[in-house]
Amino acid sequence: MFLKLRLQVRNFFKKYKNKIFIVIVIWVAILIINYLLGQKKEPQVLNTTYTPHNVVLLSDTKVPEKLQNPIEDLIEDYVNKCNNKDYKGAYALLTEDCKNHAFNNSLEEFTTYASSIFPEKKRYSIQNYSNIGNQYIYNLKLINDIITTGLTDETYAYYEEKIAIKQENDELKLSVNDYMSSKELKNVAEDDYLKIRIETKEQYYDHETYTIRATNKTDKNVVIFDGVAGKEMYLISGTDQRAPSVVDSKLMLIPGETKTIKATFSKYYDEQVPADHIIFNKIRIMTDEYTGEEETEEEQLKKASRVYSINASIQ
Amino acid sequence: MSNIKKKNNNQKYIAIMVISFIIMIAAVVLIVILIAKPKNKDKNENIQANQPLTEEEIEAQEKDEIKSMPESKRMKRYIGMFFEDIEEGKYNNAYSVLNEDFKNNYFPRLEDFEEYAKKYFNSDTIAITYDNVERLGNNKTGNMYVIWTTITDIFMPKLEDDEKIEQTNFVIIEKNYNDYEMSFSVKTDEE
Repeated sequence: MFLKLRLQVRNFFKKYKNKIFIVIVIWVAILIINYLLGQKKEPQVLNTTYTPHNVVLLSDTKVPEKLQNPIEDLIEDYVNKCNNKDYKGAYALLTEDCKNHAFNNSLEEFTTYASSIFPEKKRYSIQNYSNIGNQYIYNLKLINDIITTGLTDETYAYYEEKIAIKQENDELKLSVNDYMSSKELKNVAEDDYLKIRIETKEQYYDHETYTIRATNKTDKNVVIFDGVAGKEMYLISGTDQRAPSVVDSKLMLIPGETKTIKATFSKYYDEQVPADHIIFNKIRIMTDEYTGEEETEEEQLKKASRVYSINASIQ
Repeated sequence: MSNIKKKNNNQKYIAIMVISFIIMIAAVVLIVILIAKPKNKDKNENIQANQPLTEEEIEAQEKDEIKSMPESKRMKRYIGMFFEDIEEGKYNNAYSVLNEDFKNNYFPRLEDFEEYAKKYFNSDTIAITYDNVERLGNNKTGNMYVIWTTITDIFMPKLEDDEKIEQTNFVIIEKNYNDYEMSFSVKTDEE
């Protein structure tokens, strides 16, 4: 009974025994690997509300998953180096741009900054705050090692700053001290009296600093900014007009003089609308009666032969 | 030609039979494993029901319970356990969860801590109010929490309008579930 079938089965096994053996070996191997993987314990992740890579502000991009661990490692490395007073090592983790603009390419300047932030060992936490293209901005919160004191005789306080992370030569690098980026502008606004050149824009998280170079082309004194008149200079950002928060010196020019100043305006790096102009609103070409001692706008205007404004593009 | 075709058909038929046979065996093995597993568990549960739990088992149960809690509740649990140890006179247990540097700073010896705990924490009528919890730290060096509490005695006299109970801050670093170190704001006699 079933003799034919039995013979066929036997022949089949005889003919395909090698292939069947290989299939069985592979099958057993898969079972063993599956078992071993099942036995392997997943590293335990604490259930917390800590989501450092979830962006706080609405952003077009989010931190790619493959960069999340390297970013954590980089920040950890930076904080550890600062905690251990290895400022040279920490400085090496910064972008060239940040070294150049935020610290004038000076390790000493960085050391002064870092030692003021890390006078003693700090603990830290990070939170992705916003992202601009491939630049990931994190809020870095630093706090004293309060586990050692339990906040005894101490007020709960922490230091915060924004740090930006981006890839530089296939390596992740940091910008610290709120420094974000800079741009060479070299935009010129010129007329018969003045040549104003907006040299650079340095962007920090909450402000922008412009380097402004002005040349007096007349044989008269020219006042561009001296703090005496109101609304002498402001930044146009969309429909906003923003007066400077800091100007490092007055911009008053004697005939033929060229002077460079730095003017800082409040502007968040992740604002949707970029700034597009700086308006020098009360340029005063003075008569010979001008002494420089005038204390009010009215007094100055009386001694001006011409008052006008220049609009300089910053895009 | 038709013989070759017939032979090929037979081989296909046998191949299907062999594969079906292997799948059947695999399915049977799987079913047996699945049935056997809960049986073993039941058996273990029966054994456990009849025997007192070992310390490891209690710890594992506690850990499982803690795992299911959100972080703020876990912090409250850790503080609760700390006070429970003090209340039960297990000062060594309470002392062992304190941060080493904190101990060196304020309680270099167990006796120092015991004296302090007896003075400020040891009461059957103690009441703890959790005022606020804030998280700091990170996954790499540990999640750190600051917990502001007000510790009172439920039988304490009513406070005057200008009187205020000083808060006690707890700082906890959680390394893993039920694996943590803590410190607290120490009251000094001058206060």
